[in-house]
Amino acid sequence: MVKYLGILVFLLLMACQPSRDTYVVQDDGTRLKLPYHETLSTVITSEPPKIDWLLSSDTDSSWIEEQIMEGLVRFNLQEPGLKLKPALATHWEQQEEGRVWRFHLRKGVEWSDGVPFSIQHVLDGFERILNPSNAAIAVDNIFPIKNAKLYNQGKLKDFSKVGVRAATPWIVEFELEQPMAFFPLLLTHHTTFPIRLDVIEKHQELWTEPKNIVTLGPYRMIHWHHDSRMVLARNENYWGDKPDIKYLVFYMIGKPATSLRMFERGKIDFMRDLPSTEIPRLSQKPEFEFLPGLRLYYYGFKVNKAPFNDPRVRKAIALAIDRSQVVKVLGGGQVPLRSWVPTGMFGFDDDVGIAFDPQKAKQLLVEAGWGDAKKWPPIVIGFNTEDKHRQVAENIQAQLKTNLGIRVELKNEEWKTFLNGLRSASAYNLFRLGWVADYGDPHNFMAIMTSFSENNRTGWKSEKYDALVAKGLKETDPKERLKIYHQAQKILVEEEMPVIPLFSDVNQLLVSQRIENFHNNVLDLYHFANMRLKK
Amino acid sequence: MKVVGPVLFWSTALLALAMILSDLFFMYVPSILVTLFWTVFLVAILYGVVRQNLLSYFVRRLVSSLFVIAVIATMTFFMLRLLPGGPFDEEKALPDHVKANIEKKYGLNKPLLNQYWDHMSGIATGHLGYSYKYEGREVSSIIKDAFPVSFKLGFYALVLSFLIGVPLGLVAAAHHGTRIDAAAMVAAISGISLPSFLMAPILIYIFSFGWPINKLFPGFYEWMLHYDILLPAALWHSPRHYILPVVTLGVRPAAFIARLTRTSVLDVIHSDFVRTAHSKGLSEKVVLYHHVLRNSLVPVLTYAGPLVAGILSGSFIVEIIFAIPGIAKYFVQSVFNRDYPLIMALTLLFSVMLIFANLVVDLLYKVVDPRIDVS
Repeated sequence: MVKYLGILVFLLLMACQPSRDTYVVQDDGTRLKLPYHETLSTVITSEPPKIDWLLSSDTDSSWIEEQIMEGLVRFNLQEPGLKLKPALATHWEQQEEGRVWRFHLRKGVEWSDGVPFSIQHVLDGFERILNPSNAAIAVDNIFPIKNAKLYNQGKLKDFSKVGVRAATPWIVEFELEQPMAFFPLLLTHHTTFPIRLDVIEKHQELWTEPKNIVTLGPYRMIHWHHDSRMVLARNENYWGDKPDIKYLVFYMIGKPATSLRMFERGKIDFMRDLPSTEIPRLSQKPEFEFLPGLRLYYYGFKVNKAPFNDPRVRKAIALAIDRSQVVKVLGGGQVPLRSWVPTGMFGFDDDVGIAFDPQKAKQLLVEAGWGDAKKWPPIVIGFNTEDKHRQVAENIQAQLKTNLGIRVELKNEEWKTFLNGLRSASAYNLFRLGWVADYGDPHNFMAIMTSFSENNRTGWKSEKYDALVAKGLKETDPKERLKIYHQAQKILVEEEMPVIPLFSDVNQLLVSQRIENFHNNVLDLYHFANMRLKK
Repeated sequence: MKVVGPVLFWSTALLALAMILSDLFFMYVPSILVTLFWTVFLVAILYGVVRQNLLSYFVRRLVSSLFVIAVIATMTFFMLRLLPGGPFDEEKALPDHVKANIEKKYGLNKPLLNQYWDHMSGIATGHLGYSYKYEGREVSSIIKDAFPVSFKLGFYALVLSFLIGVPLGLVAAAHHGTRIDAAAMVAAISGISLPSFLMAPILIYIFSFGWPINKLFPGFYEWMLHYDILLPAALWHSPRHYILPVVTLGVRPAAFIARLTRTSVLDVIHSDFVRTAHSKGLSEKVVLYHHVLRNSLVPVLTYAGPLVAGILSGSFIVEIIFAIPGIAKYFVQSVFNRDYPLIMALTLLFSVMLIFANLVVDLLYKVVDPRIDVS
């Protein structure tokens, strides 16, 4: 018996490694030690579907791509204002009032395998994402480039006719369909990063595995245990300032409550996607960081069906919703929003939109002939199953009941079923959706509601609005643009009201006290290369 | 000839033990060991089949299984197409031509019957295709990565549940009607009634966050944190990480097995051959372990078939709560993602496991109780 006890104790001792360091068992069975004081651990919500920066379209993948890759320009996240800073391009200039842009490439940059970076890698990237056979998803961001859309549609076979070319061996020239003042912003997106076709050619589908992938950013991938964790290490070959933190560990944890436990045990230093029901408790912690981001949360009407085919009724519903109550229920620092362009963005306009006014709402309903709540057809609010969306929907349900006497039904559905329901005209009368900025320009938000946009799920169409959005895109004078967007937003959220903006959503984070030099930003972009660990 | 059976049996057991030890001590199992284990295991089963003159029965079962699998694959294929929403629907809607590009890439623009044919011939030749969600990853490679994790978790949980369940049931039956019996059955019923989504947080709270020590002795708690003595709250990187999920997963079947064993032992204990054994003057111990236990295992085995298939293919709740990179969460997520090839592969995997486990159990009946005519 004593003998067995001895074995048991020995086993337990083996199992306990009294240390805070992390060990990684590599593919060949050897162990790599990641010292605690040089390692930052964070969490992503799923296995990254693909670390292929041209073809991926999800936030988890792009967050990692931001660390290991880089494009011609980068956002300067250390300072407010979302200014750009040079990355693979040292400087750039515009011609023809912003229809042609020339970017001067940095010389002497090497990929992580030592191959020198050249202009061909940039051009290859654009060809690859636009080539229809690659079926890239997040491709529409680069359609402003001349003929890009035609090439992607397969209607144009000759890539040399697309508006991206080598003006000299070190200057990339972009020719656009029309002048665009904010074009360089688009080049911060990972779908415009350079690519090494020779590596893809050699390893095919497996080129993103750690032993094959080559990158240019401040970090490089050294370990990827699928569905479990990924380890990035400082890229000693990086052209710029080398990061202070040597290792980054990305754990893949699907359940926010689990990640939160890991954070509270000190195993994770940095986490986004907090469990929404825990927010009121977490917001008291010193580690809690939040900032209203460029994220719009809104309700849309299906405008083809009575009573919401009447703008007055839509407006009445919007007037009857007190946004501050919705925000209070969520309790995470969300900011009530009346305009379409969210707070923190150029084009945000405090003078647009309508405020809470239940009296006026009732009056409008009477005018429209819908004053008697009993005569209303059944109204359904649709949303995808998630705690947060349920909290919002229940609050709105209660408000409409108290303020207008209207009963609405809530219908939550699994994500893809919900998206499918949005395509039909009759599944819901009202639905919740959101929009997160792809780049820091209001056009990104205004374009959603144009009559030809696939993302306009309301069925609402306005030629006047379309014309204003097109005009705003072409305009290069910021003051004029503001005026145009003011008019367009007035149509959208005051006169016609196919959508009710509710609030600017917040980027909520837990950031360990041992992280220094962390700067929150509205784009929800976090570059670990800038951060430091307390020694 | 008499040696072959025991040699095969013991080499399977020893290889399994070697794998467990290698995993616990080095956190690494050499692939040669795994291959060797499965080879010996299959040979052992085949040997058993031949020895028991069950070959024709075995072949018949295999053929009918193939038919069942074909039916399951067909039904899965068409039922998936009936689900609303497609694999590439996202919040941000795609322009029509981009959607067309994608459908072309994955062959989703072909007529349904052509897709069906492609799919079935792929399965027949062992090509399960590429995942839609995890672009560029073969479905077979996802299964190859994730399945062994679930298998390991399930295997340890199974071992735990048999190690606890059978003795507990036996003790309860031997002390039938006493306080020991009552205590054992209360424990068993609590184990069955406590769902794992409650069990897991309770275990984590106690063994990972040190409740109530963290409230009563904060100094000692700090000390434990500093030396990292408490168990990890999640993940699957070392044997320390195994403990909580294995216990969470193993408790329910353990309780169930305890109850089954107890009932069954009580049945057997009153039968004539036990009375004969007693009257022959055999000791209580010999009667209980040799005569009673062996004959009581038939109902437990009946339960074990589906249990093995179910538990080895992982538990969604346990894997999600402990962030274990196993296969179970793919069962749920692949449906949310409408990842057709992955759903199909997982359905087939589960069917094969269920069929195989039931087959092995049927063969074991014969070993445990030679009177049973399985064919």
